[in-house]
Amino acid sequence: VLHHNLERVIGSVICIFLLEGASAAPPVSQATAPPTGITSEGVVRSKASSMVLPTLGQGDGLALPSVAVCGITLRENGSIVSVSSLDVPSPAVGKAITEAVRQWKFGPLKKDADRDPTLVSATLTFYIVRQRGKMVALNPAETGYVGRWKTTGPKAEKSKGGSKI
Amino acid sequence: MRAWIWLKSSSATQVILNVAAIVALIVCCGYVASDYLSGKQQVSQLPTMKPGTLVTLPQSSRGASGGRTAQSSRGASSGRTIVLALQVGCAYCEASVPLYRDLLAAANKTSAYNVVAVFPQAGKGARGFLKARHLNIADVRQADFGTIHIEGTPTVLILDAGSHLVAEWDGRLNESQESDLFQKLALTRIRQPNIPIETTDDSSIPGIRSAELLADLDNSPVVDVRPRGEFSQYHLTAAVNIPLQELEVRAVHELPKDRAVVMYCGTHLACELDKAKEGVSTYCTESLKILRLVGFDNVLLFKDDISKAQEAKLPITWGLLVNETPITRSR
Repeated sequence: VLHHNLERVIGSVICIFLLEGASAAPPVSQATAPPTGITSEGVVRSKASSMVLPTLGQGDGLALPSVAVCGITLRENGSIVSVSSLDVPSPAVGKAITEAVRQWKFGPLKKDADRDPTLVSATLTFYIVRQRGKMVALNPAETGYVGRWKTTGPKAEKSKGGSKI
Repeated sequence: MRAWIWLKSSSATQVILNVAAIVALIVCCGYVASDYLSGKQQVSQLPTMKPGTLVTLPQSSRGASGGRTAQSSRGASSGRTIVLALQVGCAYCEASVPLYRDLLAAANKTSAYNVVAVFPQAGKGARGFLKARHLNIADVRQADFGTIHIEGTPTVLILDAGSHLVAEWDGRLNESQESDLFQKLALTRIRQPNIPIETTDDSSIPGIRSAELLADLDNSPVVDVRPRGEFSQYHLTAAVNIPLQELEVRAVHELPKDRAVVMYCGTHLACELDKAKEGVSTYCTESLKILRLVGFDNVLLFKDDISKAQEAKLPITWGLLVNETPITRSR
């Protein structure tokens, strides 16, 4: 009797969870890839609710400051699809940056985002500088002019794209 | 052991277990139902203004009207106001231009509506945006969208005579939303012919030839705005690669503003300008626009192709024909 009743309880629970799994999200068709749009870094950064900055090593042998750019693809609801390094001073820096960006959290990119299967891709820029002997990744808003040409202009100019962090 | 045997054979135990099964079933159903309902609620996450909210638009840039309410420069304050919140560089605004043309054509047939365009950019840029797209709106205002509760662009608002919100549409509208917009306005949609975007005649854009660049190569910042794949195939050795998509963010950090910046876009300038005149946005013209937008007033287009640059002995770096591979630099 005990065995029979336990079977009923466990069976009910399993059925309910299977039912819930089936109703939670419609299956995504693998045959047709969703369309991908391109958006600006400023838009993507403005939707970031949580950012993790990469932890970098000493960076011996690297000419700094340097730029590091990674590509990110998001769903319209803000979930990350992929992160890749596009232009990095070393593979180790690229790995650290992509691992950090994968931990970022984004809000929905537009209203009714859950109904829109469109993917959005953008780039994220970091400037790699040396601070107190250590290599540090800065967001553009925290960075001044780091170009290779000498300038007499202002040192700490802000870009539109990095205004969030 | 005896207790266990008693428990197994007792009819009370059967009742208890049956009750437990029913309770577990109810709990699980409740969990699924709450999850389903909360999922439904997540669909609309961003706050929208409630109808009746007072929308205080900034004063008209021409000073003809405005003030605390949305009155048009025509002074037809008794009617409703259609507010188009747009932004230069906004892709969905660009995609919505045909709708706005139809909307303006319909609204202009009646005096019941004032149309106001609101931009976060200053008047000149905003007016240029509208003019190039044949959107004939006289009342253009600059506003901080946060202060007028606009979450993003494009947004269409309908305000009553007292500047209270009647209806709001956000983003690029689908067909049913577009119909809803015209229905709420009681206007009949007349589809306007598609007109290409007008661009200014850029034949006066200053350029630089290989020989001139070579003469002052060390002091001339050169930016190559082509995609990474093309840059890795060949580039002027002196150039830094900032693809078009990244220019807005990176240019101010990597290019000096106190001298002329040479821009290489890898295409023949004459073709680029011809395309621009036809209303086709090109790599060169778009890059130039962005550089000017972020404050680079002195941009020179590199007017030679790579073979002429080679003939002029400009240093060129040739790479492998590899596309879309990550670039790892070591300087």
